[in-house]
Amino acid sequence: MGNQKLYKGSLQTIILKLLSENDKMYGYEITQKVKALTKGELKITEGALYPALHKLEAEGLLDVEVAKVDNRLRKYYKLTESGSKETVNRLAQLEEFIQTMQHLLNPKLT
Amino acid sequence: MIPQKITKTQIELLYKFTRKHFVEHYDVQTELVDHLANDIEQIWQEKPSLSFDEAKDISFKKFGVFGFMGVVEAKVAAMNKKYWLLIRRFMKEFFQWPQALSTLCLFLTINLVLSQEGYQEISLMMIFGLVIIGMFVQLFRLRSILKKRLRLNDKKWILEEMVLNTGGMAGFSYMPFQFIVQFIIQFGGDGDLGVMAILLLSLFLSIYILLLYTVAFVIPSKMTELLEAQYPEYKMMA
Repeated sequence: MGNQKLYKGSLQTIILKLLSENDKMYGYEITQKVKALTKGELKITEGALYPALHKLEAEGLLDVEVAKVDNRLRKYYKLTESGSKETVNRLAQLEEFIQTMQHLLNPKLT
Repeated sequence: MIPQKITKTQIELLYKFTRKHFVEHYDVQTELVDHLANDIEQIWQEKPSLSFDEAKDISFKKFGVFGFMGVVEAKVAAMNKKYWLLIRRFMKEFFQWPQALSTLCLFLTINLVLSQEGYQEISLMMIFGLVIIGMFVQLFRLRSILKKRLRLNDKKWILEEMVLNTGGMAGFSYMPFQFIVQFIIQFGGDGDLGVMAILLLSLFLSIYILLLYTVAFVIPSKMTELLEAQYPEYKMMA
């Protein structure tokens, strides 16, 4: 397992990106999806996921839907219109960050 | 083998479990219960021999040493932000047509009252007295509504609590009084305030009264509508 601290700053972008590819997702589904996509390299902790989701919701980037599934209520998150625009911005910022890091780590390649 | 599923009774036990771990609000409980239920079912797929309690404990440990506390704190902080956005939304309406007309009337009335030479201090006292009495009567009324709602229904919602507690602002409604006393000392000295100072004071008082009116009257009057918009499950409970 990699250093989880390095991923910490990108958690919101990861969530936004996943939601841009899926119509709606619930919290547990997001943790499992990330685990599967990264082959267990990144495990989003419960203590980090929900605060990030609630923050994005308060910022108006996510909308909430509730459905009854298997005798319990399930809260689904989906991108709002401004959430979709913000996803594009944040992904661009993340790309830029990755490129800068690459320049720093491999100066000879530039 | 068919994977084991959480039963309705176990869902109730999970709600009880979240309450035991200091999650008071139904909106947060619901999300955590679904998360725990999903995780327990996942754990059962890998270790079907585990009991419900054993699987639940494994799942709960994943929340770390502080348990659900981080999630609850973050949710309250996020809702607080939303509450301020609501205040901003409703306050904005006071500066848009046609409500801007009543705002102008309020401003002019305060300005007129404060412009009466020799009566400025007593006028200010009266304005403050009326505002504070009004706020405390309304706060008392809202508190009794909150108590009644909790008696009738054991489900607590963060936003409902914030709305009926006026975001904690009513309790601080007397605080600008000190600022105004300082303002009078600074600009009025022993005599009356000048025209500019009166204009500034009238503007400040108008915004202050509108803010208190928004948190204590406007937002609570739209509570059901706001709760339904915030919590899709609120409607399902009704």
